[in-house]
Amino acid sequence: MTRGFPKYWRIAHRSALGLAALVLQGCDLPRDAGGTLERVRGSYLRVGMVASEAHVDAGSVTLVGQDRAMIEGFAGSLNAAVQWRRGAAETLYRALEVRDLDVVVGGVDCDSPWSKRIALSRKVGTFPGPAKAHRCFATPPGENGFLLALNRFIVAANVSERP
Amino acid sequence: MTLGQMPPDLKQKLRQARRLAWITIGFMSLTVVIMGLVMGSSQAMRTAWVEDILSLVPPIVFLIATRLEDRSPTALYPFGFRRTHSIAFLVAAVALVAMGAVFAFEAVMTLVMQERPSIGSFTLFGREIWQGWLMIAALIVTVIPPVILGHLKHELAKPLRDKVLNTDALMNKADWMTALAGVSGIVGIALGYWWADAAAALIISVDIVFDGARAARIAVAELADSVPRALDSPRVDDDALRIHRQVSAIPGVRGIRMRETGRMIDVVIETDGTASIDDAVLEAAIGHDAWRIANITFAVRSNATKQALDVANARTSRHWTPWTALPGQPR
Repeated sequence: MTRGFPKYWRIAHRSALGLAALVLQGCDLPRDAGGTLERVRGSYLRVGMVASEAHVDAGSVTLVGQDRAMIEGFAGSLNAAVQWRRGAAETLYRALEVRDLDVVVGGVDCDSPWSKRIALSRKVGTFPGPAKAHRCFATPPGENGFLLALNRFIVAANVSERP
Repeated sequence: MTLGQMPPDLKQKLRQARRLAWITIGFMSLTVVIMGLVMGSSQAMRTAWVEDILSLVPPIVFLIATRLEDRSPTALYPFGFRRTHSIAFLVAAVALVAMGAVFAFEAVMTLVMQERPSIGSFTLFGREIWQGWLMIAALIVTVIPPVILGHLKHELAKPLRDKVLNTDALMNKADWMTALAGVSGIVGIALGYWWADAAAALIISVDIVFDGARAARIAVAELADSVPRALDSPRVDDDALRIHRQVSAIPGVRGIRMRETGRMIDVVIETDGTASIDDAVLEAAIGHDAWRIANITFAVRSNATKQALDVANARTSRHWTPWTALPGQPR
């Protein structure tokens, strides 16, 4: 309605200004909905390791080893100690969903149907085999600041690893 | 007097409006195709896609109606095709309600299921940047076309007395308001409020459903031969009030009944049979609004009939007769 147009314009104008102000001063944005990053910092990082994954064969120690180095580096960057937990993927994802875990590593498929209920990081590697499916880390849903911090670490680590 | 003939300047405006409808269809179909390709399995994307398809409905029915409404009457359609415009109005209004309802449903489900939206990041110049900022930029860009289209359509709908076009403008308003709701939702998520997106969507969807329901109410009134209503409210239309007042003042006129057929008005003038109403008298009375009058029917009623009708009306709960004044004053 015409009556409505100027009013909405004013709202649009104000929110655009507020947005610009937020982006300029907000380097600590986005924040977590559940405060994971703040909790982990200087404390401990609860990591779930997928015990058995169809894509990973018995000799997958190196795969987990790579992830382990990455996670320990990430925890170190937050001055946090790592608490490991092993379990079936399903169990670990459910724990992640209610923020009983902070990260799940191991055979996490980047195209997992779980991506609707949990968050997936940038890719950290590929599964062994001809398909070369991408592996990711999984984080709790809505913890966007934590996810961004993890992604920044992964991308930095991947860049430095490149020969 | 040119009854039922649109003046040339209005015909020009109608051509402009049709062009705007085509632009909208082009723009929205492009969005629908792109969204369809990148949609994947995301429920939120699917909802946005359904909304985009629904927002195609008003411009399509507008083009169909404006194409058909001026066709000459045929043996099977002796009153012509002006009512296609009323039908298009109802269809467009229902599409608007549906869009608001889909949007509200999605928001309520997110809140009830407590789904926390996760937004990842992308690399730009070697730096990880949160995707939310990119989404906000994209949403602000998508706000602009519907704001412009909606405003232009609304300005054309007023002189054209075109409720389909006005509903199309409301649909554009719904489009840009949902985009703005998306912006404030992502800002909320950035601040750590997972429910912000759904809450913003819910507030906006109430506004959309309200707009749609009001339009649907007017559309139903129109199809039920109600008195002509204003463009965007169930208030009696100003032109109708003016015609009613002026024609009632002509000697010998007992009463006047009007109904809306699309953008046009169908008038029944009841006389006592002694009145001599010629074109000159009518011209003087309703010259200004003449283009909107699709039909004038004269009904001759004797005093006896009037009394009989009065008695019949008095038995029902509503004491209305064609010679009662209409509620409301022209603005």
